[in-house]
Amino acid sequence: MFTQTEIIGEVVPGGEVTQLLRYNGVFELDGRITLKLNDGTLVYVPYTGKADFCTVDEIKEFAAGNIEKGVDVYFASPIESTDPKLDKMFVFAVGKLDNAKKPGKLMLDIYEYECLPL
Amino acid sequence: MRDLIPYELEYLFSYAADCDPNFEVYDPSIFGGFRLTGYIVGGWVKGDKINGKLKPFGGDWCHGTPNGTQNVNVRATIETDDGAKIYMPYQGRNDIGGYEDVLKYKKFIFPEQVRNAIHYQLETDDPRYEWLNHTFCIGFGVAKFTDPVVVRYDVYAVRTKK
Repeated sequence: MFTQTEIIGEVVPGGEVTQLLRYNGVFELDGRITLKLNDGTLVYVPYTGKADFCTVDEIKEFAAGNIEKGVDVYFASPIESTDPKLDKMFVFAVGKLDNAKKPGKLMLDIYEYECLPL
Repeated sequence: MRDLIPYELEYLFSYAADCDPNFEVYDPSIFGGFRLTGYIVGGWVKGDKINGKLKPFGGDWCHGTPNGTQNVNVRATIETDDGAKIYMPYQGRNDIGGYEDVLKYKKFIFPEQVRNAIHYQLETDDPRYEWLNHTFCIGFGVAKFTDPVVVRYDVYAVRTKK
C-alpha cells in the first residue's frame, strides 16, 4: 500500500528483492516490484541499491541467526510505466526495513529527481 | 499517511569528464532507438571528500528509447591525489524529448545540453575511502554538446537523519 499527494495505489504481489551481504556488512540490493495505481496505471520499479547493515564482526552472528535488527535502505530506479510521464522518471528511495533476518515491513519514500539547467 | 523518513544530502565531489570527440551513434534493432557510445579520455575530480582525476579509460554506453528517454550507463575510474583507486560505475537517465528527437540523434543532431539524474555505485579497496563502500550516492549532471563536449556532475551521499 502506498500513498502520496499525487500517486496512490498498491504494490502488486509477486515482486522480489535480493539482498547480498558483502564481507563489509553492506547489503547490495537488487529488486523488481510492480506498482498498480488506483487508475490502473502500472509502474515497474527495477532497482539497485544499498543498505549499510552491520560490522564485519557481526556478519557471522547474523548468519547464525543471532542478530535481528532493522536497516535503512536506499535505492535508485529507472522506472517504466504505462503513464508517459512516469515512464521517463528516474527515482531514488529512502526506506526502512523492520527486520533484515525476517523481513516483515519495508517502508519507502520514493522521490523523482532531475538536474536543473546550467 | 505516515511522516516521511527524514534524510539529508551531503555533497561529496564534482567531476568533469574529457570525452573523445569521435563518439558513436548507431541503431541496433533490439530497442528501436539508438546506442550512443562515448569514451572518457581524462578529467578532473574536486570536492570536499575526494580530489583527483579520471583515468583515461571507460565511457558511456547509453541507449535511447523511442519515447525520448536516454538511459546513461557509464564505467569510470577515479585516481585520487593520494593514490587511491575508486571504481565509479553509474546509471541514470535524461529526457531528450520525443521520437523526433531520437531520430535527430541518429543523424548526430543533438540538443544544446542534456541533464542527467544519476545513481552511483562507488567502490574501492583503499581503507581511507572504505566509507564509500557503505554510502549510497546520487548525482546531477549536464552534458553539453559543444566543441569539445562538456560533461560535468556533482555527487552527493544520501543518508537518513538519526
